[in-house]
Amino acid sequence: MASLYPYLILIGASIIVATVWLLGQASRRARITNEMVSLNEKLGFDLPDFLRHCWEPLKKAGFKGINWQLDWFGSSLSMTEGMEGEDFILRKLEVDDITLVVKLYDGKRRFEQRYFSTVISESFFLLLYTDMWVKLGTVQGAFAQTAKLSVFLQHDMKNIVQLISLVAEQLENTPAGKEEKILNSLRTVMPTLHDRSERFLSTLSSNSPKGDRGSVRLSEALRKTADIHDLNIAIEGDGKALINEQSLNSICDNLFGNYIDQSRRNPEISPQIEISINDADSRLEIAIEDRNGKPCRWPERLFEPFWSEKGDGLGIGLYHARQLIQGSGGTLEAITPENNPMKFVITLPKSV
Amino acid sequence: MNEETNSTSTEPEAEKQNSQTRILLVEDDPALRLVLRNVLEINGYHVQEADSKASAEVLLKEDPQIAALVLDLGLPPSAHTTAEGLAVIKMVIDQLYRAKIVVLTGQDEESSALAAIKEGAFDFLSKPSRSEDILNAVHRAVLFYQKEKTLEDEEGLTRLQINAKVSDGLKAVREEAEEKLVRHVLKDTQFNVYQSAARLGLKRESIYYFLKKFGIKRDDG
Repeated sequence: MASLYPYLILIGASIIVATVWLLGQASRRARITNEMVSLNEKLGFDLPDFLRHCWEPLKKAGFKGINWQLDWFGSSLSMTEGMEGEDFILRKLEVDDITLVVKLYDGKRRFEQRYFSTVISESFFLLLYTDMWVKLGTVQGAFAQTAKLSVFLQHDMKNIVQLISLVAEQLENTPAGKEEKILNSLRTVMPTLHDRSERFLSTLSSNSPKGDRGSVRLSEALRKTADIHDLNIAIEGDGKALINEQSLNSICDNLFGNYIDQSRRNPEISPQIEISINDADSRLEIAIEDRNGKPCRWPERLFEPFWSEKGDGLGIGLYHARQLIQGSGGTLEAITPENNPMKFVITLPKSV
Repeated sequence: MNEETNSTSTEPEAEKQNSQTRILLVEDDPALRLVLRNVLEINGYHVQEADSKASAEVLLKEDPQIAALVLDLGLPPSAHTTAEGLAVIKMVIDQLYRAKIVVLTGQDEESSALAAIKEGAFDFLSKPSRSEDILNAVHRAVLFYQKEKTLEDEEGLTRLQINAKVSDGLKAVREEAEEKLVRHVLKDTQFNVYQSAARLGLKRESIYYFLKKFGIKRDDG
C-alpha cells in the first residue's frame, strides 16, 4: 500500500495543478468578457462602433481573426482583422432593418480550449444581438413618440389657428351694432388663448420656464390653477415657497390635469381634492389627494414619459411636473396604497 | 359653394330668418366655442353649447328641435382621438334626432372624414375653416333639416339612413330599415304601441314582436 503513496501524491498534485490552471484560464476569459461588455457600454451600445473596436479583446481571447459584414438600415459595411483561416464560427444575426454576418476565425481547438472559445464567442454574439435590439427599440420608440407628439401638437395648433382666424375675420367685418359683443368675447378669449399658447410651448420644451425664483404663496397658486380647471379643492395650511411662479403653475396644471382626465373618464364621480401644506424645517411639504379617487393600478408607470393609462394622453404631464419640481430643488413622490386613492407628496424649498 | 349668400354676416334678413333656428355647438375648447358661438349668433342662430358627449345628449333631450350640430370630433376624455366625436354622431343617429351634423375638426382629415360620414355626419370641415364656409355648411344642414321636417309633417315621408353592405344581402338591409322605422314611429308616438301600430298599418302584436326582436325599450328614446 505504501508503495502507492508517491502515485497518489502525484495524481493529487496533478489534479490541483490542472484545477488551478483551469481556474486561471476561466478567470482570464471572464476578464475578457467583462472587457467586451465595458467596451460596448463605453461606445454607447452602437453596433458599428463596437464591431470596429471588438478585435482587441477577441485577439486576447486567442481568436485568429474576424470578418464581419453589416447591412445597417440599407448601408453596407464590412471589415476583416487578424488572419482568415479554414476553421471559423459563423453567425448570422437579423433584426428588422439590420443584418449582420460574423465569421470568427479560430484554430483547431479541443477539450477545455474549445469550451472557453465557445463561452467567449457566444457572449460576443449576445452583445451584438443586444446592440441590434437597443438600436431598433430606440428608433421605433422615437418614431412612435414623434408621431404621438405630432398628433397632439397638430390638434392644439389647429384649434389655435382656427380661433385666431375666426377672431381676425370678425374684427375685419364687424357688423354694425355688434362691436360691444365682439369686444366682450375678446376679453374672455384672449387670456385663454394666451394660456393655451403657453401650454403649447411648454409641451414643446421640457426646459424649466425662464425667470427667477421668487416667493410664491402656495394656496393662491393652487387655487388659481384649480379655478382654471373648474376643480373643487380644499386646502389646509399654507406657506411661501421659493420657486419660479410659472414653474409652479405648470406643476399644478399637470397634477390637476391628471385628476381632470380621471374625472372625465368617470363623469359620475367628481374629484374631491384635499391638499395639506405643512412646514418642515427649510422645506414645505404639500400632500394632494382625491378622496373620491380610485387606487392607482400602475404605480410604476406614473412618471414614465409617453405612457398613458388609456393610450389617449401624451403621457408627459406627471413626468414634466416631476422634472420641474426637481429643477426647483424639490421632490415629487406618489404614494399608491393598494386599496386607497393615491397621494402626491411634494416638497419645495421654503421662502425665508 | 362660396356663392351662397347666407354667410354675409351683415344681412339682417338672414339673421331674422335664422332667429328661431337652434344650433348645438359641441366643442371642448372654451375659447374657440365662444368665438364660434359669436359667428353663429351674429348670423341670427340660437346657439346652445356642450363640451362633451354627455352634455350634448342632455341638451338634445331637452330640445329635440335642434336643427344642426357643429361638432368637434376630439372631445374629452380622449380629446386627441376621434372616438368621442364619432360616439356623438352615433348617439344622434341611433336616437333618431333629426338634427344634421356638421363636423368641424382638427383631426387627421382623411380618416376622420371617412369615419364621420360613415357614422352619418351631414358635412365635414377641417380646422382651420373660414367662418363663411362654416356658415354655409350650417345653412345647408338647416335647410335639409327643415325640408325633411316639412316632408314628414306634410307628406308623412320619413328619411331613414342605412349603411348597407351589398355582400350582406337584402335581409340585413330590411332588418335595419325595419328597426329604424319602428324606433322612429315609437319615438314620434311617445312609445304608444296602439298609435304606432295604426301608423305602420300593423297589428299591435307585431309591434310587440319588433320590440322584443330589436330589444327596444322606452328609455331608448
